[in-house]
Order: sequence, then structure tokens, then C-alpha cells
Amino acid sequence: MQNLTDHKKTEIKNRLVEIFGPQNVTDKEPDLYTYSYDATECEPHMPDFVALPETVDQVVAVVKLANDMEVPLIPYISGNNVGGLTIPVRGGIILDFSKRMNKILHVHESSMYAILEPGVTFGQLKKCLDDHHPSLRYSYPFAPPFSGAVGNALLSGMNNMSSAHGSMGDWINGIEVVLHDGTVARIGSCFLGKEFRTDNWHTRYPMPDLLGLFVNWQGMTGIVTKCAVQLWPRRPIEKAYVSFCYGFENTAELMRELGRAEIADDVLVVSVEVAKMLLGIPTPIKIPEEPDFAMLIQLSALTQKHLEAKYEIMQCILAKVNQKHGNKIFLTEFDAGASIVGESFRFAYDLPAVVTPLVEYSGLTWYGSYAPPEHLGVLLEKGTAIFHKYNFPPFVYSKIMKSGHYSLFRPIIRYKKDSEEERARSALEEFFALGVEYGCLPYKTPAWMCNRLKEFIDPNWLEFFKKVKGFMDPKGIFNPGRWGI
Amino acid sequence: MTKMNDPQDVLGIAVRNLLNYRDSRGELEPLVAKWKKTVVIEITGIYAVSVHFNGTEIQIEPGGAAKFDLKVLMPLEMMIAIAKSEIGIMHAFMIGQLKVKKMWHIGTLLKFVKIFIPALKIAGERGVNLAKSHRS
Repeated sequence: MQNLTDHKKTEIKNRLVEIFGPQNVTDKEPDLYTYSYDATECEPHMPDFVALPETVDQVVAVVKLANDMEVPLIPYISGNNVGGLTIPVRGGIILDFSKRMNKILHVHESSMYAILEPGVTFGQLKKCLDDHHPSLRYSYPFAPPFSGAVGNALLSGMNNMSSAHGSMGDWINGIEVVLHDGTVARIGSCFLGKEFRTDNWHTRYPMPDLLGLFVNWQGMTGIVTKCAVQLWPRRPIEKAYVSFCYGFENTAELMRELGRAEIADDVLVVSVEVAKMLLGIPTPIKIPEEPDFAMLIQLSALTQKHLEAKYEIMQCILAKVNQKHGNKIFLTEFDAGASIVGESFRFAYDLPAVVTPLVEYSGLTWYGSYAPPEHLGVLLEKGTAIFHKYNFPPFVYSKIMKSGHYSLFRPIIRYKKDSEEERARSALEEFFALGVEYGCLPYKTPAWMCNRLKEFIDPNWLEFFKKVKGFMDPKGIFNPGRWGI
Repeated sequence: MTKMNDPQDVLGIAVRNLLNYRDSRGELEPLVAKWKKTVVIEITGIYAVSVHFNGTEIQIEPGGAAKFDLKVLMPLEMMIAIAKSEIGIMHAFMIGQLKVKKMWHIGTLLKFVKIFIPALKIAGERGVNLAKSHRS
């Protein structure tokens, strides 16, 4: 939209004001600026307008307007996706759902789902469940409470029950979406009936799974206006354990085996440097005697005996791994362990939360990927080495996913935007190359990384992808520039 | 109040944290005011830290000092069990889970036990409260 004439811009603004009301539309530079960038290395770009939708009818109207005028539309919640995914690379209209289209429309107790508007945050959802539906729980990220739950699900993020239940894309039962021509379609079992109801969002199967046209598309195929996410029963007993791990392959093996045993809600490891960051050392240096990783294992159980059985299984697995690799992993319970080492670890219990090490620097970026579990050991080792090569404190965050079917490999770089961005970018390039070598699939992927990825993927997939995009968005209005097209 | 350095390693941070629990209650200073000893704490299989008590100045550093007055060794899970009062230190000692070198420095041993074990128990209680607050 760089070549937009003043006349056209005025016309768009007038129509936006008609749709949303003057108080919910802005084209003032100071208002637009905050939507032009994020913490990553991705190039900033100003939008032309920001609008605050409240109703589906308004979204339909703005999609029709965008189609008429060929103006980009960028859905936005909190902008902290760490992938430049809401930077309006070709200008256009930011639709900020966080302010007014942020209601929890329904929580279905017996079928265990919540229907959310796109602006609902994790903090909101957690409070709603804790206060009004204490028998149910959702899964939360190491991210601030104001992060968007729907965006996280649509981008297949991962949270603190993903070791058991997989990425959040798997948790979506259905969506309501506005297509490029303004059609409002309901996808999933909610397609039953002519009108929106709250009692039919219980599954996305067995009809053809059209959700695949929207999940992971980074807002390129339509604007989601409702999303039903699965909830899970809250178990009365929850207990966390922490282990200190020396070595890479044994750490990976323990993660894999714990995943396969299906006893844990979550199994994650972080570089020991991250634990030290949490203890108040901003740029930690590992001493040789320190463990390489800290592992957090979260269990939940119906009874004390259930918990004891899980604990016994966990100890058996650990003993087996330690027997094979030497006694290099030390397990203890989290509560007392955290109180001994430092209670700043307790945020792990209080997710969603602002994780201090993630907000200490002006720049934050990562290579987030889903990785084959078999390569996790080498990824942990080589990933750590890349941090050392580029002189950043190692910040590897890894998790076993969906009972060991896949894993998360996510090196995170915190950097000073004014002086370290080039070095961060070079390190990211190297993480990307490492990931490709070992079959990792980047998620929430910035456009530049998608462009690199094209060199390594099936060209027929890419052609098919472009055709689908062309069909879903013939005028290219939906979040253009994402996935490198 | 005592004066402690800022250790940069995980175990050092843990030891400082434990001592701080007592220091913040005003309990540490009278215990160490006239004490000049070096105590090594080794968590079996992990590593050791040395705590140099020099009156109210306490220096914590990674690694086992070659010259020490007392060395205490225990596995991680034993430290947690003592913190949670699941096992007493005498019992831990009797079953070989808690080992002490230069045990004949009985005064040093008793003083160290007086400093360190209540600190561990404070941590244990705080851990229980942490768990309760999470579940409430």
C-alpha cells in the first residue's frame, strides 16, 4: 500500500469510520508506530490504519472494504509472537482484536471446550476457568498473561501440557472465519445448524478438516472471529519435579522416555544459564562443574497413589537412563528445590507469566522448531555450541511433545537491538541451518526464514500452497508477505 | 546483617539463598560473628562449594577449597529430605547418606549444623507453602 494516493487513503478512512466509528479508527503516526515493529530482527513497517473491531459484522464489512480497495488486513492481538508475524510489511489496516473483540463466549463444562473471540488472552481465560469452572484447565505458555490464546492456537504454539497433548493447533475444535468475499463460515462440528450456537463445538472430525486452511497460515487465508479450544479436566493433585542434567544425549533420552511413558503433563529443559538468569544473573557464564540443563517435569494425578505410581515410573526411567549413561541426572521435587535455590522459579507454577529473562533486552528472537525426537541430543549439543560461537549466553528451550511423537527445539537469543542485531541474525541463520540438517520444522516462522526454507522443501508443496493461497485470497489482502509469498 | 558476595553458580546461589533466610531473620550474625572457618558443601555427583566464614563477612565460591575445616557431602535428594524434615541429620549420617570429613572438628561441625540445618528447614517449609499456595 506504499503507493496509496491521498484520495484513496481518505476514502478508506471514511469507510473505516463508517464501519467502526471514529473513536475506533486511527491513522495518527504515534498510534500506528507501536504496531510497526516487534522485538525481533524483522524489519519494521508502518501500517496505514489501526481499527478496533467489536463484531463479526464489522469484520465482514472491513474484509469487503479491503477486497474492494485491495488493502492488506493484518490481524493483531498483542504483537509478542517473536516472529514479526504482525508487522504490516505492505502497510494496510491492522485489526487489533485485543481491545473490544475479546470475550469468552461460552465454556462448555461437559464437552470441555471454550469458545473464544480472537482477542481473548491467556490471563483472561485462566481467570475465567479458575473462578467459574475450577474442574477444567487450559494450557499456558511461558509468555505474559496478555498474550493471545487464539493466536497461539492458530499458530500451533506449545504450552505447559503439550508434552501430553501436543501443540495448541491440535486443541482447536472449530473456528468461525470471515473469508475474502465476506462469507462467514463455521468449521468443525459447529457447522451443524444455520446459526451460531454454543453447544455444537465439540470436535473437528469426521468431516473433511477444513481447519487446515487456517491453522499455521499466519492469518493469510481469512480472519478468524471465533475459536473453540479444548479444555481438560483439572486433576486434584499437581506436583512438579526438577532435575539437573549433565550431558546431551542422556538428557534427550530421558525426555523421550518420559514422553513415551505418558505420565507427565510437561517435560521441558532449559540451558542451566537460563536457570541462572531466573536467579538474577543477566548474562550468566556456566562454570565447568555446573550441569548443562535443568529439566522441569510436571505431573498431575487423581489420587495420591496415582501420583506415587507416576513417580515410581519416572524413577525407573531415570535409573535406566543413568545406568546407561553414567549417573549424570539428578532429580528432586520442585517445591523444596525452588525454595533452596531461589523462589523466582515459582513462576513456573503461575503461568502465564512475564518471564524476566525474556524481557530484559531490547531484542528477542528465536529459532522455534518442531524436531524429530531422535535428533534432540545432537540439537541440544550443537545448539549450545552455536550460542558459544556467537558469544550469547546459551538459552536452549526444549520440550518433548505429544507423548514423544515430536519435540521442541528452540534456541532463544536476547540481544541489544542497537548493537547486536547483526550477530543475532548470523546466529539465527546458523540455528536454521542446523535445524534443516536434522529435520526441524520452524514454526511461527518469520518471512526471511520461510524464504530460506523454500530451498529445502518439496517444490510441489510450494506450488500447491500458492494455489490454495490464491484461491483463499485472490487479491492478496490477508497479511501479505507471510510465509515468504 | 552479614555481608555476602554474589556467587554466580547455581549451588553458590543456593547456599547464599539459604543463609539469607536466616540472615533476614537476624539469626545469622550472632552465630558467625566470631567465626573464621571454611566449610565445603558437596552435593554428591554435582559439585562442591566452599563457604568461607570470616566473621560477618561470608564468601561463597564454587569448588572444594583445598584447605577446609569441615566438609559435608550429601546427595541432592538427601538435602531435600532434610529440608522437609523427612529425615533427621543423625539418621542420614547413620545410613551413610550424609558424610562429614574432619568430623573431629566437633565444634565446627556443631556450629555449622546450627547454621545450616535450620536454614534448610526454612526452605522446606517455604516449599510446602509454595505448593499450597499453588493449589489453593
